Amino acid sequence: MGLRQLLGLPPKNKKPVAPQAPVEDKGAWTKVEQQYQTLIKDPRYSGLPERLKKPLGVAWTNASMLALHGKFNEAKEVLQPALGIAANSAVAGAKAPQVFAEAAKRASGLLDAMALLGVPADHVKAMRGEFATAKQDEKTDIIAAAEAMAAFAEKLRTDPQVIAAKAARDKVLSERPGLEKEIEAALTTPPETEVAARALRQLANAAGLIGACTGRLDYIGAVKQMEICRKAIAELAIEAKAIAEAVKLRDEVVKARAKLDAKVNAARVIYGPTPESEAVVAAFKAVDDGYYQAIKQKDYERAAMEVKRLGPAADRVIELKALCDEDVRKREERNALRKELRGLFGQKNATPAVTQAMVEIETKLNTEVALFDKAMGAAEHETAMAKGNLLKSLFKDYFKAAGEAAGPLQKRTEALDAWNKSVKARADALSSLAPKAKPFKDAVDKANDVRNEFANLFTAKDFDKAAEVLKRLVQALDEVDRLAKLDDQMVKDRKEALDAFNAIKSRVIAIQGAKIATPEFRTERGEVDKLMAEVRTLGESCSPGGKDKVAELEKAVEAAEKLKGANDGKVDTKRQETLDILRPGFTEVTKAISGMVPFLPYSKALSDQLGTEKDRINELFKKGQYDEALEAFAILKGRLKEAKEGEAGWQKAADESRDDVTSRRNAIDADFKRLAALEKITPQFTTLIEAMVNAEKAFGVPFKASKWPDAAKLIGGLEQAVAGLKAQEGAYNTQKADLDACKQAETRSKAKVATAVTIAVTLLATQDIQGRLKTQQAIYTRTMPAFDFKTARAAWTEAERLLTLWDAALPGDQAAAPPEINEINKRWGKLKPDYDIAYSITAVPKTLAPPIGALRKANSAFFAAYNARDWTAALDLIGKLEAAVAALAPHKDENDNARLAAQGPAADALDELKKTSVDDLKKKPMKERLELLDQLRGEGRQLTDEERKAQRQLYASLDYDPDFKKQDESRRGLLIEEMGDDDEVRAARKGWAGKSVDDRMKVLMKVLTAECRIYNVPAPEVRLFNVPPGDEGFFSNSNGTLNLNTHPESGFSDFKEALDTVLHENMHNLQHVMTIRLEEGIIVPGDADFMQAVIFAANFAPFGYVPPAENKKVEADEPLKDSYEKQPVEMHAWDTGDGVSKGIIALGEKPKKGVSL
Amino acid sequence: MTPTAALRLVFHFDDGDTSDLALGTIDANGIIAVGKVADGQEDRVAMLVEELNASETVFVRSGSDNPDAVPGTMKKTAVLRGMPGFIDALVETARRFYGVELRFDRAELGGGIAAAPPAQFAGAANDGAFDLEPLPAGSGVEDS
Repeated sequence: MGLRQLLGLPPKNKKPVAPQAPVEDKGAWTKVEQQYQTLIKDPRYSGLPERLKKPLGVAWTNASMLALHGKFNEAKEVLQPALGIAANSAVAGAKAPQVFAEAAKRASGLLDAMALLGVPADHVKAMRGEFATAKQDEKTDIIAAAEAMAAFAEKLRTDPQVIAAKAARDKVLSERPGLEKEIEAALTTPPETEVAARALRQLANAAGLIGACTGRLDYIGAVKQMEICRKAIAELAIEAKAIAEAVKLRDEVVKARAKLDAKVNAARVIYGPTPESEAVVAAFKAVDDGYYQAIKQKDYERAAMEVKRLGPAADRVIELKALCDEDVRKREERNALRKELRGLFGQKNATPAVTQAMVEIETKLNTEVALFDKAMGAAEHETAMAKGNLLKSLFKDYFKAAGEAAGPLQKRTEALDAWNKSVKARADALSSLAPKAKPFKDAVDKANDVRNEFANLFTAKDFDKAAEVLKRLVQALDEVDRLAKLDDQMVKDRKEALDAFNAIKSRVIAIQGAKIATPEFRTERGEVDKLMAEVRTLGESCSPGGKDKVAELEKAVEAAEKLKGANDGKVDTKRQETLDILRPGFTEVTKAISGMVPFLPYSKALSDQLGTEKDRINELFKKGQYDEALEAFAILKGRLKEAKEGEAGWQKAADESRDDVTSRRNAIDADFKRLAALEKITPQFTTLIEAMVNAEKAFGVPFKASKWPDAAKLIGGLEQAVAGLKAQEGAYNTQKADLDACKQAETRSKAKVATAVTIAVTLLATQDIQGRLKTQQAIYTRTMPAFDFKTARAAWTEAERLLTLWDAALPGDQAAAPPEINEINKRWGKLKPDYDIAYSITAVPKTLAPPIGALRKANSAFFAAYNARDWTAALDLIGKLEAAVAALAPHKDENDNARLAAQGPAADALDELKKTSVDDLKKKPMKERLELLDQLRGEGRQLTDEERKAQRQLYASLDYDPDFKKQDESRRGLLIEEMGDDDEVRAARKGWAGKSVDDRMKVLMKVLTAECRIYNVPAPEVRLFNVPPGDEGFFSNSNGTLNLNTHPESGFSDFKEALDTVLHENMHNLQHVMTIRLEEGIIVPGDADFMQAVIFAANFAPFGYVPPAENKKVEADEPLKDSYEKQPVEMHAWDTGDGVSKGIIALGEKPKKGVSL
Repeated sequence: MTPTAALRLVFHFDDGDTSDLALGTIDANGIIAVGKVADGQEDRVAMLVEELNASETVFVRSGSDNPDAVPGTMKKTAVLRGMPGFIDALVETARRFYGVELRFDRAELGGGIAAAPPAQFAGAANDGAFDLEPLPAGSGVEDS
């Protein structure tokens, strides 16, 4: 039956026909009705959800109504289709649990398989969520649940992620064995080109990760690593020819280098004690470094060139041996003197200064020893010897003075003995007392005061007085002991008195607050005041009897209270009479005091006295002591005339003061004007000049305001400042003359020297002049900014003398020059403008970093050849330098634009850092802090002082990344355990200084190797050098070497220090390796050392390192103190060096906590 | 006689806690002598005292101020026993390598007498005072 029929509407598009009476088939209806009744009783139907039963229910209602009206046919037509649908639902409902169970089982199996296939966990989690949703209708609507579960199972079957994971698993299972063989073969490739080394690092890392990913069923991850491996293998294949050539060249280079070992090692332990010899050593070091740098960069062509230069460079250094030995001899001579002085110091320490003469010599000794140390540190032999001998003579004087001070020494010994034997322990014990009663506390304070008085007299060498004070101290300590026993009793006495007092306090206040009118009340009131004062005295001193005194007070209060009624309400005529006298009198006093103001401070004494007396009279008046008040006022009034009489004297004093100040100011005026005009040529003179000018400004304020006494106070300071600067005027004039001479020479010759030291020359004689010029240039370049104008002037004088020789030698040199030199000079001259542009370009955007790196490399190679006068090589290399410049210089606009764009964010970052404290920075997420740092350095240029401060601020907020810290502490623990238990390391501790360098290195190498193994970092090449201390050691990232100073006076001779240096410097090796691994994608997000590697990389980035000199700029700023040591890379290296060496040195069972001896 | 000061050797744990290791003296030349030693710490203390007393030189660490040095170069300045600065460097060495603080009074080591440490006051006597409120306003000469 259609809907229209059901609604009783005519069929569509059919013309209405005349109605005919239908023949109603009741039997058919009855049959359908019976079917209905049977179905609804069937449990398969009754168990259906209501939503499925509802249509049949509606149909039955409608059909029943029709049947009731005898419309059986229509009733049947309504019920029969609904009956069919319901019957089908009943059948389906019966099957639904089974359908649901099967679909759920299928889906669950697929979910489990997803995990095993390495489908990403978040996707599996989402699918499990959907599975739970599909299951939720199971109880209420099994048919819907079955349909949903079936659909979900189908969805899982066709899930693209599952399909991809399955494909990845199949790929891993089928291709991994073959690939592993390829990897194994590829890993045997020598890492002898930069490309090969990088590809091998990535291959080794990815190969390990294939297994790791497979192990945790991450087949997709494993396939990714397999792809990285294939890419690296392909790169190695392309590089094969270059690798083979590099291996051949490397073998030749290493062989050639090995032949120079003895020579190079001999040269390394020679240092240059003079600027000239230092330059020779520096040239050798540059070649020695250059070799390792080239080897590290796999640049064997350059390494071969460096080896060629290394022999001659080492020979030149070996020629300096005699000079070096002479310096060693002088150093030994100085050290012997220092040893002798040390003995004298020990002797002096045992002989304290007890007389003024000894103190004066001691002061001189302290001054001179600082100068001696300074000269020793700077290896200034003559000065050190002179200062040392002066010290010896001062010691002699000191001991002579000590010999004459037998009396005071004896007294000192007696005082000290008395103190140590019977007083010190008692006096020290005072700090552990906790007095409760004030008198006891006062006694302790007094004893401490006496002790300090004794200590001060002892320090001031006044032993007679000190002995007397010591006796007083004993008495004071006895008093402390006495009161200690009474402490609790005193507290009790005071409490009782206080409680009794508090009980009557309000009554006392009422009496004292009443206005006195009758003489009787005044008398009693006076008694109350007197007793109140006694109660206070007894109470505060915790004396016994306080309570009794309060009882007396109470009686007096009672007596006063009885009289108070008669007193209150009466007019106090006496008070009024007194007031009538005092009020105009006080006005007069106030006027007199005001009249004295212009004569301050001369009038101050009288003014203060009058004011104080007036206040006292007022207090008497308040207490009702009118007679006393009037009596005191009469005296005060008499003194008022003093105010008038004093005026002339005060005026005279003021005039005298003005004349004195004016004349003193005039006396120094000429000096002041001349000195104020001095140029601030050094920080020392800047300070002196500014101090003097500021003193004059301070003086000028009261002087101009005619405040003579104030001006008189300041004139002395101004005179001192003028005199101080005047005393230095001679030194100023000398330094100024030196500076002027330097400036003139600079104008005349700076450009000429600059040219002379850069052009290539041929003849040895010309080279010698050029070398000397370079030395002088280095000296004046270093000493001018250090305000050492004397040395700078000498360097300029010598440089100008050398320029004369240079001018004479140059034509001959040019005539003898091989053609390469002229060609190099010509090409260099042409290249220079673009070279300067290229060198001004910063690594912004970051895409410019590779061409900048290429320029630096080409530059370094060219100048290595150039400085070694290897003209053929230099000519070859200038082409590479030209190419590098040509590749970079055109990016100037791009760099400028990028820097311009970075300026805004950099300024914002600076503002943010300036207004944020270190503590607040610590609250920001690490990522945000590193972004701030990145923005701050966005321009890629050298930072300003303000920006560097902001950078230090940010570093101070950085702590270790927690994941890295955990890993690092575990590695430190392993290293300590391994090395602490190592017999060889333990044995080396004793007699370390007496062992040979080789024996010591054997042990240090063992520690270094263990550290490298545990930290998973390649062991660096270790190079030894030998220079007078103090550079102790360093890790050079440019050539991957760890360098140690083996000089006998260095920390290398101390087991603990040598251990610390090696452990510390090797951590810089680790940090650089982590940075490279981060750049190459070997350390990735999620790795335990990822965030720390990012921090290290930020610290190593251009301009990111904080040099030790910056520490000096932050002394006043506590959180930024020790910024050098607190920057991430140094903090980590220092912590490791200290932590591990402490762990090895201080092995043994730790003490129990909380032990107090 | 070389001045000496009472010395307390204090061990510092990584978490900031401390424990006494030993009591003794230190003289102006940095020579340590110990008396009472905490139970079980005899070897540790003996090793420390032996090694520190045997050190004729100790070192002060800093970053290098040599302008030609590679960034990160470590500088160590030797200080000879008996010379000024030795005691400070010795204290730092004990801290760095043994985790031990050498606690003593510098004044005593300089041959002087130490100033008194601050006194404590349990303060029971501060619980209230024998004072009255000031006299009411309007009772003085000028304000009457």
